[in-house]
Amino acid sequence: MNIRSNYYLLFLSLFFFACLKRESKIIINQKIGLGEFLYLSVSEGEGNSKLVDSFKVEDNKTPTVFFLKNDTSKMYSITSGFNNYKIDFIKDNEVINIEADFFNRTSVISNSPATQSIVWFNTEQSKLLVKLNNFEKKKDLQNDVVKINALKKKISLNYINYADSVKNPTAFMMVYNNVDFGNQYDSLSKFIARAKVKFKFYQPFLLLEKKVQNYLSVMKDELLVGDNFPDFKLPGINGQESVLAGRKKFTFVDFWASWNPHTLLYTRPKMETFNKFDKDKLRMVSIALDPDKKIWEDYLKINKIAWTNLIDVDLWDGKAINTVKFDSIPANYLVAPNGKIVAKAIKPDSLIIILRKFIN
Amino acid sequence: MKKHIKLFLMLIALGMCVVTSCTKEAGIYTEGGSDGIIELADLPSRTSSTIYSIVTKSFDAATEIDFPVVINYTGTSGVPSDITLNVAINDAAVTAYNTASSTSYLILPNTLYTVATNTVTIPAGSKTGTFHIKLKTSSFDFSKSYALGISITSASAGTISGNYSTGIFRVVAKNAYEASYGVTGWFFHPTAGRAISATYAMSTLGIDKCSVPFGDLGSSSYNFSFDVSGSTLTNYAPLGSTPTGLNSGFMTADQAGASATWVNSSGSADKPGTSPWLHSTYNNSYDATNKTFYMHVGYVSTGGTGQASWTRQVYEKWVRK
Repeated sequence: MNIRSNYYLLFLSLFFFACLKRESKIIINQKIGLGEFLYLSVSEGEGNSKLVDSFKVEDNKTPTVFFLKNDTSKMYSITSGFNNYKIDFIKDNEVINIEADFFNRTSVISNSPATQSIVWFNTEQSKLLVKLNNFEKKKDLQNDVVKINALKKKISLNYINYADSVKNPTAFMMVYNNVDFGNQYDSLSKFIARAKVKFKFYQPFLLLEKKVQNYLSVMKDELLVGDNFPDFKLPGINGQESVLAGRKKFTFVDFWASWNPHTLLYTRPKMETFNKFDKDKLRMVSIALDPDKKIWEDYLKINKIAWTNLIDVDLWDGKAINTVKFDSIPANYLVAPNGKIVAKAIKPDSLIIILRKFIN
Repeated sequence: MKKHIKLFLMLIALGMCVVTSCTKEAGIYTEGGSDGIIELADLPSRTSSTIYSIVTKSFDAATEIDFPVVINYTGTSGVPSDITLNVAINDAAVTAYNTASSTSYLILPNTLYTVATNTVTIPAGSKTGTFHIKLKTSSFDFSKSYALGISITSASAGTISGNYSTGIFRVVAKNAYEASYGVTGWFFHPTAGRAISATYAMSTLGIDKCSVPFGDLGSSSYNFSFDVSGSTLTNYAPLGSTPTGLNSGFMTADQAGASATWVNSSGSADKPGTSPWLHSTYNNSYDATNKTFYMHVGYVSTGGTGQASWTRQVYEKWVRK
């Protein structure tokens, strides 16, 4: 009997815990026009947000309380119909207190270590950036160049170190935009691996990690002269087309984008090349990494570009970069009739000269 | 007996409620109630928790703009003969309202408005008169919450309302661009590039000056401002705590703080918005017909060891909602 009642109690406890609705509270001591609404929104990334709750303030002496389900750490914001003042915070605690003065556009967030930490970090970095800017204005002093480089390195390392040490995944994602390892791919790889230990259950991080791994695989596996150029299909003006459709002749393949001016420097030399070379000996294929097909089509039309043009609207996640593994644009390859790369990364001013070496 | 007393008390209470609501709301404030009450129109019903009724009035940002304050004479017919009123700006009312309501409205400085006369006439046969104020909204500090207290201080006839002879008028000025914008575009980043789908709230800083959050850094409370001049956008500047300069995480074509450093920069990749970083569509312009902004801003990561062509750049189309 005793055992049975113990089981019964255990079952009841489990049931109780399963049904227990854990909620967190956002307590706002507001100063705002009476009759105005306060809005609580959750960030869905990149300036996009979803309204979660709202409350009409009738009395500034009574705090406004928003209740939220306890879920993963997210970025929230408080706005109002009163003016455009916005208070951002990371919900990393069960109770977060906000003193919000919409008249003076000031706020104090307490009980949110992640918010306080990132606000502090951004403030400190801003001070260094102002200092850096002041140094850069004194551009002719040799002494300042040393200081500038040291300060740049410090600021850059601060972003990396902060992201490396931060415990909150939302704060990590916010700082990540400024993290830059340049061409130190192993360091980036290790940095992401360390972050994954901490944030392996945080979905936005996992998406980021996938992008970074993809980027690293592209950066590390470079196609060299002598390698076979991989063939693949992409949409063109008249539907899907193979990059190496003209196997019996040389193919000049280049990657560009209407939004990237460095690549546009090639337009004129490519036109000259197209007009100078025998079409039976050279096929030209330009692949645009452009998110907007219309802009791409307009560019081709305005510039009267008549050779084969393909587009990859998925840009850095697309088929082109993942197949050819180039690390930046502009990128170009001269592919021989046997499918092997005979030249690559040809500069715009030497395009015709280099091609002449292979094609009579 | 006890039962009858209870019923009696309940009836009295009910009667009191009816009488109270007649005098405070329907009886005085709305037409068709008591005749001959003189009150400020446009004011919402005052609640018991506030000492004065408050209303928000929005205006275009302009050198000078009319703010007509309408005064009602309640009743079904107009005034039998001209009524002369004295209406005054009442700064003390704003102060009293702030104290009672824990608010911080700023009394609109008298340099930002003019009143030609404090005398208002409700002509015979009419039910309204107008107190004329001219606001200099383009000179407002758009970050402030201004309010004007207005009181009817005397009337040659009729009864001045107890509840609605004084009102607080919050005066807000907006330029032609202030609105919410649906934003689409692309954020180019070495390892975390992504499409942008967002809503930005554009705010007024002047007749043609606007402020908006800066792309992906909006969550860091970074903002920038610019002027709209026809289809051209000029005078970009970081706002508030947004750091200036090339390495700040903020740069555009003519951002004043950054331009000095651009001279010293060898790479054209440091200069989006200027040649050759020009784009036929995302070219920092305004399409007035479609109320659409095409923006191209960006920043270089501090240290700048990454490939120039992979630097951070934001291409956005803002369509007014």
